Amino acid sequence: MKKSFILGILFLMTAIILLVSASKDITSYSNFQEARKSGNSVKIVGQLDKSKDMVYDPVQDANRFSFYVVDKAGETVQVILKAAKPQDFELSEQIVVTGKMVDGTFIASDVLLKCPSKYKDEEVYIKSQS
Amino acid sequence: MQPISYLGEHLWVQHLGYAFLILAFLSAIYTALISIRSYYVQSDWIPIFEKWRKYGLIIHQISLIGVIGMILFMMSSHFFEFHYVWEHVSDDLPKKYILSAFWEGQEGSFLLWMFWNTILCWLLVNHKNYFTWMNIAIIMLVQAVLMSMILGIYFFGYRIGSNPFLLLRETMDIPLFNNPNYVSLVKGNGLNPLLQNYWMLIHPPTLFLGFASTVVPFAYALSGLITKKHKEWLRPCLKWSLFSGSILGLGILMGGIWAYEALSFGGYWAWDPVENMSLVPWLVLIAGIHSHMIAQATNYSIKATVLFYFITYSLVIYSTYLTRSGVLGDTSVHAFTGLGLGWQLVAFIFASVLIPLYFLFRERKQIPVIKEEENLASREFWMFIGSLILLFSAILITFTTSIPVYNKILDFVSSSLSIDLSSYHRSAPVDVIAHHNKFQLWISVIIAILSGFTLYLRYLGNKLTGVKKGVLISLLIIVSISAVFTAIIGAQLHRTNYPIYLLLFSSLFSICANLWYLIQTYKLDPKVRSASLAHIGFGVLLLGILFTGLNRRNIVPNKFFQEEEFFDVNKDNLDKHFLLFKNEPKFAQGYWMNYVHDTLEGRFRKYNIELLRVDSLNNTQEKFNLHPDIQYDNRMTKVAAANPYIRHYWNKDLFSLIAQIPIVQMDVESANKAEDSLQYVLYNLKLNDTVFGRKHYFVLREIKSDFTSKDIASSSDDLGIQIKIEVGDETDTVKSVLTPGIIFKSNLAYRFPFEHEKLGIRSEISDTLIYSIANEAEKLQARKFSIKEKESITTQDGISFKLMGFDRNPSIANYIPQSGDIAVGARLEVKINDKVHELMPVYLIRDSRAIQLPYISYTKGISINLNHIDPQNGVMDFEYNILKIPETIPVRIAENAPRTDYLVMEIIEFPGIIMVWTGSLLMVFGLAMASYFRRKL
Repeated sequence: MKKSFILGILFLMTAIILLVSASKDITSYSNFQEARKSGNSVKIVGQLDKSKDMVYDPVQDANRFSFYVVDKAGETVQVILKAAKPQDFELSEQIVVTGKMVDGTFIASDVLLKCPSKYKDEEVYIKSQS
Repeated sequence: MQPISYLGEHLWVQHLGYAFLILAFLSAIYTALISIRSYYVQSDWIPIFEKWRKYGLIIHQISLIGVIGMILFMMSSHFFEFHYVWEHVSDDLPKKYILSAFWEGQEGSFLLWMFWNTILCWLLVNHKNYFTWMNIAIIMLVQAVLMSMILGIYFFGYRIGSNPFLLLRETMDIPLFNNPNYVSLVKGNGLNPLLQNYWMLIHPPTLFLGFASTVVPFAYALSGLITKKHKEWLRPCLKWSLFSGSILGLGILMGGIWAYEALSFGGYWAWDPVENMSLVPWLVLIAGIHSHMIAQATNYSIKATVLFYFITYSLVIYSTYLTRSGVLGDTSVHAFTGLGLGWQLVAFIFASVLIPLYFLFRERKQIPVIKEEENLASREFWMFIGSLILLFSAILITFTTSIPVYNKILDFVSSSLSIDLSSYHRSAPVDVIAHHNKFQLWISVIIAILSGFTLYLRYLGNKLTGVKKGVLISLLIIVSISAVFTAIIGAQLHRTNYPIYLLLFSSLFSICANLWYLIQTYKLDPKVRSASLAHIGFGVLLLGILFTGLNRRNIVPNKFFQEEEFFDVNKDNLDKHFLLFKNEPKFAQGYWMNYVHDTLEGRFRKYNIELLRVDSLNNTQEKFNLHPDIQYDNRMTKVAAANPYIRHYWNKDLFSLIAQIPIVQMDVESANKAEDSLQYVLYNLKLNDTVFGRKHYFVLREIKSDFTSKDIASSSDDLGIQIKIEVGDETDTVKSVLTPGIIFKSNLAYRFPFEHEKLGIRSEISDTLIYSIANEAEKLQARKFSIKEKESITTQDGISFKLMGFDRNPSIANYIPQSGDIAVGARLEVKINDKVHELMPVYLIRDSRAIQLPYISYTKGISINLNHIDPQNGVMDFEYNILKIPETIPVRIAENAPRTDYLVMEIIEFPGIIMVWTGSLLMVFGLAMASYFRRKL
């Protein structure tokens, strides 16, 4: 058999193996219920529950920010982010938290905020007359 | 309805801009068609066609510069009636950022891309050869497609492109546009503060030149197929591919530096989709360059080279789609927002894939192929393997980065089949960085090793001729040297496992092998030097990545002191941020850190944090200050960005960033909310009496009446009171002191609250104090009297008044004369406590209303009002009040005040980051040098 043919097969196989193993990292978005069951690190999409308290008291602990997230299944869970409170947190329309469930609270290592685009078209700012 | 005729709009700019746009679009198509046609004319027509196509290019160039010039003109003139200007410029935007504002928007960045395309065309014309005008035809067709992205015309009901000359009122429908004079009212949004950075002046043009220049190898490869000259294009094209590789690499590198210097994530690369999609075309381009070199030397892999260049350009277009269609919204921090160009870009991608593939398919039999197999001991064999590995790398990165695209496709399918497929939506890996690193680590190992030994092999070599004598011995020596270094350097790394050692070894091997090769061949061929340099750069870059990735550490004051000794290898368990109170130094990992002060300068709050590096005996080794800052938005209402401050050393960087500041400094709204949430209690404090609050007790120790402030111009009649309150609680041994103050000036009061940050106490003297100052006298009887000019009277409380006369132009503190005023000031001589003063209350008639302006002098202890003048007999009625500093002071005290003298920050030590920059620069330089040496080919 020709060398280049063997080589081609070999490369194709490697490519498939690599892609399959890469796709293992790619999961679907989870929810709190699944996170509780599995105990694994997951990504959850949800919204900030603005009716509940957001607590960040840097004097107590600069790396603890707690807030509540409603996931797509409608469940509200307290989330504790082990870092300082991100900027523009209150403005977020959608929130993706990465972490796992520990004793009923979701310990997040990372949050990704989806904020409304910086300036909404409807808002045209008017010069002050002074 | 009558159309409104608006005032102040610069419609001529719009008309001229449109004209240039359409001319540029049409001239691009014309130039493309005439250039292609010129390949199929008889030779006596050629000089005429030469002229025609050149004129076409000139007209296109002029009209394109016209479009760009009009936009820059309206931006720098602040014509806010244009949507593009309104969106990206504001009155307070510094002039130097006009260019950044220009390419902040999609339309501007498309124009930048097109501008580079035309420059490339002229360079091609300058290096004329058989393929030149076919290349220009291809570039001009691309140009026409790009131009269509900003045309903004309607075609069978579909809008094509987004026009940069649209008026604000054409893009939205709001009541403001009922005002014919709206132009003078509109205020620009301004440039995103994160982009107001000098890197944003040089990074986008460089990156776009990189993207644009990939069109040249693409065009050459396609021209070769179209004109059926399958080998001839290789030689003139190579310098362009190398140039493109160099510039695109530089552009990506600048992006990394910008992210590191201006963004808050603390790093130069985060596997963000936008970053990935600039890297991927570069990887394939580099693969293409390597197979190109093989093709030129051996005639192997011509087809592969063509494919690599096609893929590169398709990936550039795909990357444009990802960053500009809004599809990345969920996963990237710096994607453009969508302009509704999605379908147009998708069509562009398909065209960029299918059209070249058609020609490749047509010519598949004609492209020369060598029947003989590559030899295992030949250079081309291993080089080609390297190219394939680079392609793998690109495929893997693209695969994960495209997740939002799969979701988009699912949405499209589900909406056209009307079934819900949203449960099939996929998310990016939980830890994106670990995901990519896991694969790219192995790819780097292979590439580094290949780049180390392949140069030692010969093109078309075999077992006998491929490997030169002595090469095996040199390689053996290099391997052992690299192994020794691996052991030494590996010991310096904080976290290691065998893949890390392998990567360390392979990068060192690549450096050593290429260095040795460079020394050996230095005199032979300058072109070889550039290859060695670029490969050394790759090795150094890998070393840098290893060091910054594994040895980076957050400098954090530890809660548990021993923790430092048992340094936890899993750095994620350690805190990143820490809090500093003003002037309360903290110790962390060899540094004393102190937050000295902060100052507000324009839109920036600049911090000064002093660091002392000490040795184990607490002797100061080094003293320096860090100056990170916080940037407020264009309207100064809230925090827009935190800008890092980096201190550079030869072997490491200290990266510092403010993560949080007290809420009262963050935005106006929260500041007001915070003030409202304070629970003030009013205490009437008597000298030396103790009152008990919620947590503390308070004793008034002193009342001073000579308080002044430099903020308020003082006059001799003002009263400034400052009190001293002792604060304590059961546990306090050291007592604290509060010293709020208040200044009364005529009938105004200025409060000077006092904040005790540590105790969380805010105190202020209540302005109700004025009542008790005045009311002391109320216990006495009527304080009214009536006298005529030159008369005197002594009241019951022993004060004598004499009316000396009148002043028709009185000048007292609380009276500002206006025309039409009728004012009478009564000159009264008063004797209080054996002291004689002159007072002047004013009776004023303004707009036929009578106004009494009292004369208030706290120092003289009296306020007096001229109540009424009887014009018939000249009797004037006065009313006075004795002012006395009371013994009881009303003080409002809140004990729940949050502290406002702190910051939360992050300090990261980046060892070896310089290797990342020098390594990347060496690669860029090597590629540029390789291109330079081939400039005449």
